[in-house]
Amino acid sequence: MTDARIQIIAEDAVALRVDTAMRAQMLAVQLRQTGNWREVVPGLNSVTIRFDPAITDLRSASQQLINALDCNPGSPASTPDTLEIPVQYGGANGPDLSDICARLKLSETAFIARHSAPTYRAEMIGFTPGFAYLGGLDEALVVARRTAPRNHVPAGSIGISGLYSGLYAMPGPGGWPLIGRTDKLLFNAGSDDPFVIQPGQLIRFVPV
Amino acid sequence: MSVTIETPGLQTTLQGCPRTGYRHMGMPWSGPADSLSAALANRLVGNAPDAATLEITYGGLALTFDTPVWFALTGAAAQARLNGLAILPHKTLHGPAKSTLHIDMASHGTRLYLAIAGGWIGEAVLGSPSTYIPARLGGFKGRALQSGDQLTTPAQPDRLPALTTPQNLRPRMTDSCVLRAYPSAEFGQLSPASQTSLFGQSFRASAQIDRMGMTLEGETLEISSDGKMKSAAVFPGTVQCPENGQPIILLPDAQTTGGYPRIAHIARCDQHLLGQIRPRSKVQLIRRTTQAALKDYAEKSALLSKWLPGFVL
Repeated sequence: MTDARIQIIAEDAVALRVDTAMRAQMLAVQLRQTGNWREVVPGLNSVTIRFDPAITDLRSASQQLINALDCNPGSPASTPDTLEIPVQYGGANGPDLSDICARLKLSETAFIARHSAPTYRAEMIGFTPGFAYLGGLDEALVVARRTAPRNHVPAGSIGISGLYSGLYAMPGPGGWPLIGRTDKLLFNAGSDDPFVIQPGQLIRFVPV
Repeated sequence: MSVTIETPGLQTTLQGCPRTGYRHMGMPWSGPADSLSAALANRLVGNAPDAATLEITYGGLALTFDTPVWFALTGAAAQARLNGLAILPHKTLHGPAKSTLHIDMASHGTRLYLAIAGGWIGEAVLGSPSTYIPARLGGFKGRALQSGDQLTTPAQPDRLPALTTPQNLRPRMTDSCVLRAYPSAEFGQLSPASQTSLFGQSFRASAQIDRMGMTLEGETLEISSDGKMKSAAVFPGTVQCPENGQPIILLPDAQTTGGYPRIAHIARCDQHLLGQIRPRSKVQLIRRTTQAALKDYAEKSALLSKWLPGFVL
């Protein structure tokens, strides 16, 4: 492919580089509505489509990605509602909070006030089922990942890493330092649309 | 109608069709690590190619058929006995009521597939009964089988045609694996010498292998990575290269996005072979173009289509 924005991922998967996570999400929604793709996966600065090699090929799929970008409006059709998530900070629910506060030289109360102040946006869902990368973390709260990941992080756990706050919709392994946990159900296995948080969702944390 | 697990083996899970279409929500595919062996087992008992089978890691399983069951065994090479009498893989077999099936430890290959007529019954989540252990969903209670588990079996036919998998379609279980592969998005971040060495050298699979992936050990690859690549889509078959220069091949339970350079991808026609790679065994990547890989895929699919109609490799 001659277009530098196109990346060949696999014999049946191709990606388009874009400028922001938000554009990647909007393109993904658009592509899912207009094409018969096996998977449409937005990343933080890319959107990847996987196709059935029996019905399309890399050239045609790449062209459709470029066409989708050309006719993308560039802003979402509507502003999503903000979802409030109650959080129990610290203690057994947020086992890394006291360490983080010591490193940042903040009291737990000050940390909680800063962490619950912004409105976050789900920039990407991925890695593990329903795991939400929430953009908008206060720059004063940036810490590194844990050197040893945990084998088991309970569902509803909230972590921080870099400029993101992360939300674990399901139990699983995880390397993000944990600061709190919500009782809110984030994955409803019985439902046809079991994921409570979709890409682009706006979120506020409410300390309880 | 049920089956009782006497000894579960190291890790036995129920695996059927992959859970596709939800990678944008972080949901891995799951499904059998060796989809071809699973389909071959299903064929012998009259099931659809992607009906749920038991994936038995390294063998070491014993179970009792509480009621009569038609079954078939494929995949990794292991001795098996029904009520103490040796049975053969790749055949339609009948287990009478109260009979016990023993599968020894596998001598070659990693995963055995046990199919029963009608397919194993798993908890369907997002259209798939496959087990995904990390999130405890699908399959039997979202976990590996344990001693004493009772699995409900579907109604069994009175008779089934006695089938045998044609010899030329049986995947060979060897201790060295050659995989066709091609460069992926961040291949260019490898040094020129490492671009050559990725496809030239003989790697060894890591000692630890699970359903998420395996590390390849060998001559360290030189990768110029600032560790700041923005998370982007990965798939089973993606070969990632972390800063330590030891590539990782992703398997069916792998994460949906990742931040390590994607240096290569295993050709789709050979992805089923990944499920049989044993820890510490030899792995070699053979460089293809994506076009050649598609041709290889079409050829292998055509070879299998007569015996396995409807099977998508």
